[in-house]
Amino acid sequence: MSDSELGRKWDRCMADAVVKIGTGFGLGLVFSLTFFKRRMWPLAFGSGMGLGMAYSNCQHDFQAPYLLHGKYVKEPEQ
Amino acid sequence: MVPRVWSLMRFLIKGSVAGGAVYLVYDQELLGPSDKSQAVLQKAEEVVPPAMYQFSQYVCEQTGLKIPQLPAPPKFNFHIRDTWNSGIIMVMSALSVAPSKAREYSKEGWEYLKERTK
Repeated sequence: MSDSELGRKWDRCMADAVVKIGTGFGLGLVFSLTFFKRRMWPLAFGSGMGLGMAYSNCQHDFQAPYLLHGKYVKEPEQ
Repeated sequence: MVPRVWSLMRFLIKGSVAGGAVYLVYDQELLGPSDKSQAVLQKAEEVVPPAMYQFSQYVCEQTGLKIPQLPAPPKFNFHIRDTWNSGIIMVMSALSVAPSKAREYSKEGWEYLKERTK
C-alpha cells in the first residue's frame, strides 16, 4: 500500500468515525428525549454503537487493501 | 377519555419524531460504508455554511438587528495526514533549534543582569 493510499484510508476512517459517532449520538439523543425520560444511557449506547461500526469499517478497509474505492463526482449541469 | 386521547397523541408525536430520525439516517446512509459517510461530510461542508449565512441574513432582515461579521466557520473535513505531518515537522524543528535558542536567551539574560547590576 503506497503512502498516499494509506493517508487517504486514514482520512476516510476519521471522517467515517466522526459521522457515525455523531449519528449514534443524535439518535440516542432523540430516543432519550422521546421514550427514555432524558436518561443518559441511550446517548452512551448510540455513541458506542457508532464508534464500534466505524472501527469495524476501518478494520475492513485496512485489512482488504485490494478493494477499489469509488469517488462521488458531481455531474455537470447541462 | 380526554387524558387517554392526549396520551395517545403524545405517543404518536414522539413516535413520529423518532421514526423520522431513524428514516433520515437510513435514507442518507449515515451508518453505511465509509465512502458514503465521507461524501455526506463533504456535502455538509458545502451546504451548511451558506445555509447558516442565509439564515442569519433572514434574521437580520426580520428583526432589523445588525449581526457583526462572524469569523469563517471551521473546516471539519481536514486531512489528518497533512496536519499530522506538519505537526511532526514543527515539533522536530523546535527540538532541533532548542539548544541554540536556550543559549541565546540565557546569554541575553546574563547581559541584561550585568547591565542592571552596574
